[in-house]
Amino acid sequence: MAQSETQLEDARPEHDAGSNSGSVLSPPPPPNPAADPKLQDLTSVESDKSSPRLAAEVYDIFDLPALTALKALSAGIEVLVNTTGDIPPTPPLKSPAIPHMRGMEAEKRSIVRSNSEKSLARLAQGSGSSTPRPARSPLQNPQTVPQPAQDPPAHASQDQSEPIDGVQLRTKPQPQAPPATEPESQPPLAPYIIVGEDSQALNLQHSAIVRKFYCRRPPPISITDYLLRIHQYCPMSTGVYLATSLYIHRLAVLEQAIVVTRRNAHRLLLGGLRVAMKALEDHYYKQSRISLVGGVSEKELSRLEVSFCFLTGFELAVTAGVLSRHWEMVRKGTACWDVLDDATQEMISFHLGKPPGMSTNEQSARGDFR
Amino acid sequence: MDGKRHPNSFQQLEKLGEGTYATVFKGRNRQTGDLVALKEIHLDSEEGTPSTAIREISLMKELKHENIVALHDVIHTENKLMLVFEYMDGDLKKYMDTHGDRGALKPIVIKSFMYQLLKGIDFCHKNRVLHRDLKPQNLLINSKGQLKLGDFGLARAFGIPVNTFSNEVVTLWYRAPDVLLGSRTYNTSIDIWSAGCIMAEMFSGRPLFPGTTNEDQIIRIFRIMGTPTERTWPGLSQFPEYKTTWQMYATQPLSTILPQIDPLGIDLLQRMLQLRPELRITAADALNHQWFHDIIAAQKHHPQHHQVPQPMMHPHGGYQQPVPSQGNYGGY
Repeated sequence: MAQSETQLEDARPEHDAGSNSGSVLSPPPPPNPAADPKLQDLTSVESDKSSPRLAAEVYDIFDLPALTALKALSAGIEVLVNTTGDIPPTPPLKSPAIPHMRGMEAEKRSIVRSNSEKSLARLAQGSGSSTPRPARSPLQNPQTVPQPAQDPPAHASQDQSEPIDGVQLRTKPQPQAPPATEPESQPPLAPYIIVGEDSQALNLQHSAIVRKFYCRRPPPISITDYLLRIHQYCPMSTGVYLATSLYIHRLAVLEQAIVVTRRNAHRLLLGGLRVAMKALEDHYYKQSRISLVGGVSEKELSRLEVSFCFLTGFELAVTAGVLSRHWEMVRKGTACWDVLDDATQEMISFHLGKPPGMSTNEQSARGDFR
Repeated sequence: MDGKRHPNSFQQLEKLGEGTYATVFKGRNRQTGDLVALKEIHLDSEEGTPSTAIREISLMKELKHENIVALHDVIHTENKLMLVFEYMDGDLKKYMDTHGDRGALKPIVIKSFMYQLLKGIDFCHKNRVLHRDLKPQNLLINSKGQLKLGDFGLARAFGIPVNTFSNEVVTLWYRAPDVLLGSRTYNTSIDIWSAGCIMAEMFSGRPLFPGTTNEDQIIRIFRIMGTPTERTWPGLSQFPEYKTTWQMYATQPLSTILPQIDPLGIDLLQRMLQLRPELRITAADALNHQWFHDIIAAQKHHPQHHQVPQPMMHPHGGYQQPVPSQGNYGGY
């Protein structure tokens, strides 16, 4: 044992310099699940059901082919779209449906938006004194202006003198005197940053988030074709398709937080699939690939992603039980379940262009559904 | 998150450290004065929102438990996410460095920490979540002697029909042999292996299997636990990393390697450090192990008290004293 340790000391050059005892080795770097080289091969393996599970758990969703789950997703969204029809891109600002949202409601109210970088910089400048608030966008409701800002210096001096939770704080006092008098001698102050001030409840942002999924014109590709296109170039697993279906179903039916129309279905699906894959799989496609296949810019995709997260209140964790129940519901509840027979499927593969990257004709692979 | 409106602006204080994918600052709630940990995640990367952030938020929202660090809030600014966590004073690694005798902690402290660790793990597993990166740096300690699981960036749900389960999980020293052998069908037992390694480390002050590479890690484990064979581990030769060239080591009794552990403690450790994943004790069973009976009994007598036995509050006379605030905050 002792022998092996000395050997190890030599073998590991990266010692934690800050560590106070020389004999304590610094541990290896944290693992990076996405770096597993074999993951890529697994991504598209339809039959691979290697997901760990305890022996007692056998649900039929494990035998469900991904394409079947995809069809369920497609059929479910078609039903939603057909029931709503076309409606204006802006949902009512205050929808009576919001109180139906489950436990997230209170939480969403507490999830807030805070200052932009610019206003943070301004805050930093006027650190200590009460800072002028950045101009409000007309969207923001003045009634939700948070509690008056407390005087930061008072806090800072308090930090210094009183141990809190048994911890002596090391905070530097904020400058009381105007910095102009002796700017040179000031220690390089970390900007006095307030996180979450000037914030507003998420459900006021709700309509702004929902609007991010709207296209000006309904995209020129059917929902089914769009999903099959994604499945052809970026195949995902049964779990990801079922979870996406579950997320959108929750939002549209259970919480009535969104209405799904031909104008927003594509983007909701793209955002949902992306988020579901990141939440549930160890490997996910490159942003560039998904954006190409999905027909949005990378920046747009990033926005859809984070918007989808906030729309769902990050309620993205699923279990086999939840997915199974959802599957049962979709299977029983969707009348147009068999919309896709084998013939249609063949037809669809004929429609689609070559995979991105391999395509000589960019147009065929690149969707443009902006 | 408990229904009442969260006061939602925070004064950002000093930097506490770098997590696996984010920077952590100390913060103060401007309305209540409570300390928090603010984990800042940049969204302007090429790959959009980091999957680690999506995982951590979505899982920690579900996992509300006294032995799991609480996520209070998520604040979205233009190009970053700020996760607001309950404030903890430091992590277990730092605690061992500062309070231990050359890193080794007192048995009564270890027992309390192990009990809390297993309770946190049990809660995750009951909720179908694998942590996948348990190590001293990711276990946070506060001045009340509470231990909480942190950093759920690598955690994920298990038992769902997905395709990709990475083999690159758990920091090397705490990685279970089945993962080292290339398994992708690992389950809850990998977290138990890590817990066993952490228990041994708390007793000795040094990592039990400080390997440098995957290969070296396997060999270090075999040197102590014995080299397995197809006879002792049916199916062993099916693992991708199985080698016919492994040197055959005999099993060492853990009690000779870790003489500081009492026999009951050794029995529990032995059950956690089983090479074969299916033989490893579950978190729920471990919590009922006889080694913890005195803790359970103490809790029954003083249900109002926290699970931490009083003596542990004063190792060397002073965990009452402030814990250094510049802890290594890898754990958030």
